[in-house]
Amino acid sequence: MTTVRVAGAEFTLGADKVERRLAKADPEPIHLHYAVVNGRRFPPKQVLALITGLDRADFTTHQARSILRRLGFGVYRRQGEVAGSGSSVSGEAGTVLDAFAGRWVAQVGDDVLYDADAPEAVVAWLRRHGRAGRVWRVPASPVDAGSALSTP
Amino acid sequence: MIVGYTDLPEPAGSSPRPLLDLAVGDVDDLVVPCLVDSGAVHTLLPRWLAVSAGVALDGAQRRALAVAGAGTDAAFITCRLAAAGHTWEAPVGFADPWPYSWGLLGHEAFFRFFTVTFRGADLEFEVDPIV
Repeated sequence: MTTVRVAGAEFTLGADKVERRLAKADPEPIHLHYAVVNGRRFPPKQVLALITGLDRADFTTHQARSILRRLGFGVYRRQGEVAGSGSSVSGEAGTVLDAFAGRWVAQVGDDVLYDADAPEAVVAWLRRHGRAGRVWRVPASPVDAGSALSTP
Repeated sequence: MIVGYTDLPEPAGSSPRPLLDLAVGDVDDLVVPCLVDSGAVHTLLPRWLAVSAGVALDGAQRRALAVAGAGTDAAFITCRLAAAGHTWEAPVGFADPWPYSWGLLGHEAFFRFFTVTFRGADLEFEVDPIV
């Protein structure tokens, strides 16, 4: 457990607590920075707000990134800069998609914006956040990626 | 328009595929990748897409098809399609169940409307609308 001070208040936090709190959270769109929690990408300020209950205006992205890094989470900047520990999410398209094999994703370029168990959830997320993207299930096996002949 | 083949994750095999993003209906926030499949007669898409794109399937012609060695029920209806900077209307089958990670662009509804040149050695293909 780690004790941190944010906006004049002390919080005792641990990675387990963060992971539990974010287990069912809906990641918001990533602008520049993100943290990987439970294999999903979240804006650092969203994470810190959820685990502390603070308003996002009470702290900076820099503070959020620093605290999440201290808790052992990977903290990254889009376009591939790794600024903390944890598994890499950025890289070439095929490598990025490895982490999402079998998942439904919203993708823009090499960026995976969101992933879920069902296409309807991905489409709902895109519309909730006013985003557009390619929606598909990342193939997890050669069968998923097989060619096909349709019969009339 | 020249489109690069799409890299796939390792578990799906290492061969990139000629996938083209397709929009359906009147929505512009949602595209699905489709395999440009010169061996396919029909253009087939997963049925969830019809719902998400607001394509009503009332009055659709239902056909039983075999895809990937298994049966599926396809609801064929003419709808607006958009890809490669071009918009057209053609009959598409919205199928359920659907086994693939992408839709299939076949001769009906796609190759009739485009000239497609595959340059497999360069991992790219070119799509030009027939006007």
